[in-house]
Amino acid sequence: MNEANLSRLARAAKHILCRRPVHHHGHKAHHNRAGHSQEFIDHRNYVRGDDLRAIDWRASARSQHPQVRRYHDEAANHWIICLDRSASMGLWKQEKWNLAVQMAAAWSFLALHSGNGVGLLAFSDAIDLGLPIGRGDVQYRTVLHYLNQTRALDQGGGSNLRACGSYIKPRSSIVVISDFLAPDNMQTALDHFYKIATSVHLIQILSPNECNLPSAATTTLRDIESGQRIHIDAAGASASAEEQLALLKQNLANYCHAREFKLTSCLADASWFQVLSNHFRRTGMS
Amino acid sequence: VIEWLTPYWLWGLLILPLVWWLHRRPAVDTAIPVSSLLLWQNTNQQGAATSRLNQTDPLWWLRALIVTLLIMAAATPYILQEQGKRIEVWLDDSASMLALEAEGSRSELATDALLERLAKENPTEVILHSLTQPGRHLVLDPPEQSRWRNTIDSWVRHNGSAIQFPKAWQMVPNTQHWLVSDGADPGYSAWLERAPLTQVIQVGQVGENSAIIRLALRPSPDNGRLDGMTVVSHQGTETAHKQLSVTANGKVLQQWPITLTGGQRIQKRFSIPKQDHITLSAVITPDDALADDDKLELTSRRTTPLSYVVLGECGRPLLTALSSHPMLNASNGQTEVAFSVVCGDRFIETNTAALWFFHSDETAAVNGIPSWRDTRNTLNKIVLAHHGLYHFAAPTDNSLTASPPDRKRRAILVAGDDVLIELRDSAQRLVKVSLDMDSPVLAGTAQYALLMLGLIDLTVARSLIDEVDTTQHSVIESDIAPRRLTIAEPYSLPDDPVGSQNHLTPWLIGLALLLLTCDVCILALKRFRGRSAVEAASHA
Repeated sequence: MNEANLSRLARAAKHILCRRPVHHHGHKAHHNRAGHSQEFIDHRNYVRGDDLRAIDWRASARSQHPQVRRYHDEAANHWIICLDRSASMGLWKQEKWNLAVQMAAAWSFLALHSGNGVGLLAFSDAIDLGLPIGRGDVQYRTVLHYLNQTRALDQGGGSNLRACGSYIKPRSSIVVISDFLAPDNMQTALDHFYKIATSVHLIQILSPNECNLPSAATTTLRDIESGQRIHIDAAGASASAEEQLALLKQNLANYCHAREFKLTSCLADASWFQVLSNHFRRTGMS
Repeated sequence: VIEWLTPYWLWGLLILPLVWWLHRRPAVDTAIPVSSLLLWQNTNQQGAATSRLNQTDPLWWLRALIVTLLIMAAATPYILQEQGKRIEVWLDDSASMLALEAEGSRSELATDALLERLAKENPTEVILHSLTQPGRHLVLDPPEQSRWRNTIDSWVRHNGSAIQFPKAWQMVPNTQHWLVSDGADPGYSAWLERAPLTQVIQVGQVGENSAIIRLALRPSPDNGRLDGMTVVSHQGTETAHKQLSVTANGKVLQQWPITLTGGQRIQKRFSIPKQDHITLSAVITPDDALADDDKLELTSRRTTPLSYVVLGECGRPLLTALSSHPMLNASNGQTEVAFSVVCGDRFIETNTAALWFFHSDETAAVNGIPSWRDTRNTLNKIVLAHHGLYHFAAPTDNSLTASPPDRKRRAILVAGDDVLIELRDSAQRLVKVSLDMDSPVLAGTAQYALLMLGLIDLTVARSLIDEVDTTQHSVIESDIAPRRLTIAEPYSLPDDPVGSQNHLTPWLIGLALLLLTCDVCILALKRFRGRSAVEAASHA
């Protein structure tokens, strides 16, 4: 990662990472969810259920309509990076994991240098590594240190994204980097994130070898995480697996589209920069 | 309970984990790892595979079992079978045990005492042995202890036989041996010295007993009568007054009041008219402790003259002697022939006993003093002077002296090297006489008639002229006086009898060899299948 690339990337990610309110004319609601920090954002019309103490009487008098004040939400500036370190991420010489680490580091850098807080959760069956939310260069070096110290599991361990749920504050922004090759595409956990998070970004990393078999004879496949085995007839198996993989990806994409999650799928041999650039560009366009 | 002679060998079982480790499969997994089996769920699956990584060859169980069996065999296991309390009782069932005591018969008292002792010992096995009938025994079943008395009573048989003391080697070692007796037999003292007895149960106190020990009948010199004789004996220390009665065919013949002192015997003679069939009995009264020996019976049948047949040509002196015998009649063809008289150089086969007076052409003077070899018959009372005695020598041709084979020969009268009279004993007796019975020197002597009587008695195997009928009772059996039975040194049994050890080592080794054979067969089968698969692959 060089600084030139990161600077270019920061510009691309500005719309995502810089959450300061843009002063629109009138009382246009901020797309971010408001919180209760002391930094004022703007006013909006009063609706039933609003705290009466939040009514700005002066603004209400000016606009002839009850107005309530809105403030910046602290949590909305927190980024939690959930990094899948299950064994499936470590296959094929950790190629998926290496790309995931690079992207986690880049995302941390970008978020921290945009004034956000960043936390890191590496998970498998449970939380293997939890780095609390921090800010600034110190946090970035800490994140790099932890990422350098961590490797994906060699075998075993599941992809239990739900384990991250209890560590994430409501209204945080969440980045999940995984292969999402779980029985339910981790949708149970993602449903939870949908309820509490400000925004959810998913980076799916798959290997080019995911559906390759070395021989055409009958062979035994072993699930690197569960250890289950099956005997298969390798003839035509790769093509079938490719279809299945495409189906899984499509399901995940449909799911994310329905919930406005930002999903990018990539191969492990891709460049982190290219992947993140694509992701930020696509999310910015949307 | 299994015990071990060399239990330290069992430490060898610690090598079983090594056996397991040696049978581990190599930790090489040939399965292809994939991120998720979800991708492959629509492929053509051949079935679920179980993980063989780090699995152990199941044959390790077989090998471990073989090693275990061999180690256990080396530790020499055995099953200790504890020996129960076994008592062997040697029960006196002689006639003296029938003697009556004040409390009952000695046999009943002995059973009472025995059962009382057995109840205290609580044995696991009781075996009763008869002292008068060797080999006869009774096994008492401990669970049926309440029926022991009836069982013993029905088993005991007092048949009057004498006691036959068992040898020490006939008595099972390391077992309690009890003696139950009245001690009346004088042989006990010697037997007790060497018998491995542990306990003696003695019953009986009464020692006074009178008995009729003999009753006999023989022809009287007075041709029309029979002479009889009976002997009464008294065992004990006191004087006994008895009444002796002799009856013939149910009629009292004669009575004597007798007084007997300890150890005294009294003989009484009587005479009765000659009868063909007489049932004679002698009784002493009043009854004493042992009633069994107070009466003696004799049944006498007077012999009617026997028939004989002459085969061959016999000399006149011989025929004269035969015809003058008072108890012989020449056969008239209707009566049963008792014996045959054969004269000649060849024996003529008959189906009766035979008296063969051998003849040949060659006679020789008896060279040497004739001597009787068999002392069991009356012939040996005849004195024969060798002067003037001739005998027939056997011809060179043995066929002339052919005689029934397979007869046990016994010389009766010999002179020097010559056998003058011999007995060939078999189903039909044969008495061969080589003496020249027609010799006038011999025929003229007084011994000739005696010699003929003796030869005929020898042929028919009984006395025809002086036939004695007798019956007797052993004085020893009438001696019921108990002798003190003491064991000089009671046979000591081991305090803790060592049970028998049933060694299991041969079984374990045999089983291990069997399993080893199975292992070899399995390996051979595997190798054969592997070779077949390789050949099939090469053909393909």
